[in-house]
Amino acid sequence: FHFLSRSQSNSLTTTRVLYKEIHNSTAHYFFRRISSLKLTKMSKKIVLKTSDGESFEIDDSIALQSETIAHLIGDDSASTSNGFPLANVTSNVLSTVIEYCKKHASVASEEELKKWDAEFVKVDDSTIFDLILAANYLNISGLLDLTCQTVADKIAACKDADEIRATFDIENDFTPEEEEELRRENQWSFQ
Amino acid sequence: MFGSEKSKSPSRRWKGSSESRLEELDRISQLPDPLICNILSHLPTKDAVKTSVCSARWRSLWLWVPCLELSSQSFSDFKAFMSFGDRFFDSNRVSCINKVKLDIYEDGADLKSWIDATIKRKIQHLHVRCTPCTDYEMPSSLYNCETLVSLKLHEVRVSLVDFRFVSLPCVKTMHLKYIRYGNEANLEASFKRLVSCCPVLEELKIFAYEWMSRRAQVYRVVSRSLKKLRIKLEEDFETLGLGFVIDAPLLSCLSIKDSLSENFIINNMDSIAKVDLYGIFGLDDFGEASVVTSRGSRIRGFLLGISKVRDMTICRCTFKLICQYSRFQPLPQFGYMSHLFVTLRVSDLKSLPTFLESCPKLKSLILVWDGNSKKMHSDGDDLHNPIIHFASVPECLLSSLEFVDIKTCISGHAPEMKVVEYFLKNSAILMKITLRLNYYDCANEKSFFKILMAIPRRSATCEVVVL
Repeated sequence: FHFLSRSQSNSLTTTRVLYKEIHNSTAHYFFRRISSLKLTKMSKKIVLKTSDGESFEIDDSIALQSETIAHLIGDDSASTSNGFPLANVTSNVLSTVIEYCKKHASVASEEELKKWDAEFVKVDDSTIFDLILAANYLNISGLLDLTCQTVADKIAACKDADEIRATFDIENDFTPEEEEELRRENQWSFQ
Repeated sequence: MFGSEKSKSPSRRWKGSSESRLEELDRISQLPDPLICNILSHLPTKDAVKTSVCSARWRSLWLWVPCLELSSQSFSDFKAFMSFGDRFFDSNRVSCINKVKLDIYEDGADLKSWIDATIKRKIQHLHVRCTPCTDYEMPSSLYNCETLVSLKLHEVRVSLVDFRFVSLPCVKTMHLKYIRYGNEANLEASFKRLVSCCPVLEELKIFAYEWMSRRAQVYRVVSRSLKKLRIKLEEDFETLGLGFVIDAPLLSCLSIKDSLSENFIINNMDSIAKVDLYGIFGLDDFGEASVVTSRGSRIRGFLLGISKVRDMTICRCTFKLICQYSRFQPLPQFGYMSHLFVTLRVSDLKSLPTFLESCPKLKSLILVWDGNSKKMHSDGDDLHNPIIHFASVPECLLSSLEFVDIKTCISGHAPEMKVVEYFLKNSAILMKITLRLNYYDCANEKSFFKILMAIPRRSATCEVVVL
């Protein structure tokens, strides 16, 4: 017969198996039972509270991708009973950010991540800007680079300043003379 | 924040209180300045400057972008380029610069003061490219820049006048292409000093013209941290060869395009894992007489030295030479080599098995031969003097070769198919063979595939991929 012992450490659940005598048939049964046992990793959960009052519970491995949160975790005074407050992030933006962090915490090839990133940024401009601000506040360098590159690509795709203004709805507040002078000053770029 | 660049703000732009003004701004202009600069830093400078006419907010933002990529050719005249550079590198500006890339095609710009400015502004990546017609000298402040991580210089003058003040504590990558050193007497000392004053140097590229020195000069590469070294010398057999002495215990990647003259000494090659050879040891042909010469023993020494490499890339001249050498002297065993990329002449194909005999653990082979060779395009084959004839099957084909990639486009001619056949028929554990079909030249695609599929495969799990 065999006996099974389980010991729990801080963040890891381990299953230690000791067996004295195993008969062939019991061994079979035994191994089948082992495979059905889930070896779960007890990870720390972090609670984040958004500016509009919603709470999000996520694994620390995902939350730590944000350097801001990493610092908050280290600082005891920052957490309240409801979790860490994020004053500058709303719930729908945070859920999108968590989606990004989850994907980048998972095991995936570089190619796969690149493809996923390309799909991830196919959203409207307003969301992209929200993500830029959130990534900046939460200090997630990968997401910040990705979103800034997306906007940069949009700018690069524009033929000239007029198109840039149209794409981003920027109001031209130069007088025609001012604009002319500026164009002359930076003439080389407009060739 | 804008310093001398004050943006005009006529009252018509103030619509009520500052809060509602912010809300009426478009989203991108609402972003704080550093974030807009971050976005602009992902663009080439030319595009970033285009945004300056979008609105008053954007007028000077591009100046704060910490990256600059400028080519004097994209300006209508050189004076415009000079004034632009003077403006960007004005000594009153103190914002941090991260990356600067300059391509300068004419003399006259104040490059020294520009680079001085970048160093004061904590530059990390500097790339300066000039031409043989220009003569720009780097400022001495460059040689003790504490923030520089990557330095790439092309066709400039480097004069290390006072060796006491050379210190580049963060430089990891250094490319020195066709550099003129202060004065020739100084070349060896300057170069050695420059390399050894980079304690964390990992990648070094040296390109030089052999005729740049009137007497034999020796480049001494002494570095405890160097991992990758690439040397390219434009050969000139008339002059004395440039010598190299390489002392880098951590060196793992070596790439040489050089005649590998007698003055090429590498101390301790054990750590080298990847080698890329494009050298012919100063020899046109290796005949029996060459064996006993110093050159012959140098080849032997060199081959023994790189016998522990795991990844080798070899060009056709070197391959030809090694094949000739192997007729008189046994090749060392490259027991650790798992990856080989060989470019060879069609006439040397028959020597391939001999070479592969010395690579018993080869896993992956990439093969390139001259795609325009008429020999490979003939369909008739002379039985007495076959074009392609492989005399033996080396050990690695039977026991370790898993991937073969033929990069030359083939058209289905008999000699080409013979090569494919050789691998398919003999490789016992081949997993994948990749071919490239020249669709324009192939007479009959269907018959090509028919012949291909009909070749008996020794390995049951072999996948044939045709690109």
